[in-house]
Amino acid sequence: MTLPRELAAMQQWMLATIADPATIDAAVVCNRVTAGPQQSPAQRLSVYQHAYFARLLDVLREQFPCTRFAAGDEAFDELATDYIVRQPPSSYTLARLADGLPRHLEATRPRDGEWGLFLVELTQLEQAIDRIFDGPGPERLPPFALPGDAGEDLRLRFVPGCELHSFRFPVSTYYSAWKAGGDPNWPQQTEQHVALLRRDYIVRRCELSPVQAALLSALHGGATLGEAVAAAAGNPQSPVLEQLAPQLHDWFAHWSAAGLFTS
Amino acid sequence: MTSHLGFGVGLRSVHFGHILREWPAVDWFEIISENFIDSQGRPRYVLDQIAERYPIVMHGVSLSIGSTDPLDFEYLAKLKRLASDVNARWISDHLCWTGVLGRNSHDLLPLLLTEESLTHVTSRVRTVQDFLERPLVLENPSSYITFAADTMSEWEFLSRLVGETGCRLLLDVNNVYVSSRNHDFDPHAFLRSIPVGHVQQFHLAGHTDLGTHCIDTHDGRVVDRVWELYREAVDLTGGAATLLEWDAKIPAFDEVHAEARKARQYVEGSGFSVQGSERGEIQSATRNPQSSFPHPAHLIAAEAE
Repeated sequence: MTLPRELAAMQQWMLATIADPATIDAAVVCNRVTAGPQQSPAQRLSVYQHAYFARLLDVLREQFPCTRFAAGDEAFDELATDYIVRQPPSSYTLARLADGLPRHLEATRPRDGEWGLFLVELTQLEQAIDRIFDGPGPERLPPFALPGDAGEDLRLRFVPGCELHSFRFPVSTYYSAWKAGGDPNWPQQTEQHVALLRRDYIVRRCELSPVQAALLSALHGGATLGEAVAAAAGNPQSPVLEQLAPQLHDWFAHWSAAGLFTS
Repeated sequence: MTSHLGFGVGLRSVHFGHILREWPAVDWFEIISENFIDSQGRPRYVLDQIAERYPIVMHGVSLSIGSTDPLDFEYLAKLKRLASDVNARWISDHLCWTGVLGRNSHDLLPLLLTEESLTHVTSRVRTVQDFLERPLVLENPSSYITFAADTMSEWEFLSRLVGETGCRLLLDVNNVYVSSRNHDFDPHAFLRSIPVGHVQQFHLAGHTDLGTHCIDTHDGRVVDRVWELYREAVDLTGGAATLLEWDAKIPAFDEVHAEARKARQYVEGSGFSVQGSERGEIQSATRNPQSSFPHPAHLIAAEAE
């Protein structure tokens, strides 16, 4: 099939014009677009220009409500608009619009303060929530119970969609406070570890101590129970193995009830 | 193909809970295809339950049938799979393009109405229909510009496309009205000029009248003039499945459903008094243009604790 050249040229011109209004040549607009009953060609084209940014901005606001709250409406819109301009959408679904947002914010954040890093990590948390919400999940799997005779050689499987994250800021704590309707202050830099998973189609967060995070991370990487405990015991913040052992039963009972594992 | 499903409502995530609790007496639901073709979470779980009880129609916003980019067969395969899974009665999208050179505007952009465009779109509709193994149903979108290079009207383009491909039409009566205001054509002439025998479905929706132009915002009630056009369209076609769209400032389900039931009153009771809807249009005219933009802006927000 031959390329419809006139149609292709018009489409390339129109998309470039609505996605980057700075490039508009008024004379070209008048040559290509007819005037309406009460609007000039440029005014008519501006409906699409306005809609392009308004729609995409709306989607990012909806996907990152906590980040927007933390940044403030104006600053969030500036950051989001810059992202839209630099990384225009290419997927057929708006659900993929924000795929590159955390990386974009990380690459462009000011290096002379911590607030940029906090916002980057908040977008990472919200993006993970979004991904887990509509991704593979555990709802159709049979319930799991840790075997009573679980030995050192046991390997545990995590439910589909379970993710382990380590942040340099307590973004999960901040998210909880925002979710509860509070007006939390920006937190000081403090390491935070979180397991994210879905249960009954709702995304849940499980905050972890550094030792718990080391233990689960080793299990997630395929280590046996014994290897994972040894890895956790090697964590500088870990109590000696003898002190760690009594806590393990409670931890695994809690994580099993929370739905982290599957048979 | 089932021709007249009755009077349906667009399935929106804010109503998921209500529908699963109440199982309202709706004839059928229309889904936004892109919200479900990749879902492995709650949206798909809810859809599967609804599809067991109601007829489902799939309505897409990303086919980009008029684009000069290659067709996305991975996307088409997902449409086909979902249609099979939920027993979709038909698959519709818009006579438009949404992007080019690998970029997507996520808007329903107007086609250049020329012989070259018609040849291009005709070929693509045939390819899509062959792939989906069913007729494609195409909607007339609202538009805000026309091109100096256009050589035919929208209704001539639609009519010839239907004649060449056998595709079906989703006649959006509100879009006819919005475009007629924006381009100063006679909406009645539009209705009389399309191949009415190919109308598979109607869309009804609210719009925003900004005085100088109208925008297809889907954020309110259907106005009187659109109801009048709908009555005329029903007379011309003999009636077809009718769907009420409400995509922004979405009220409680019962209010959306009540608006959809007005269409049934029109068809079964020969019309009704539409008190207040014209006032709604006048109020819309005072809105800030910056807060009004056309649908689609479809995203299902994550639910998290």
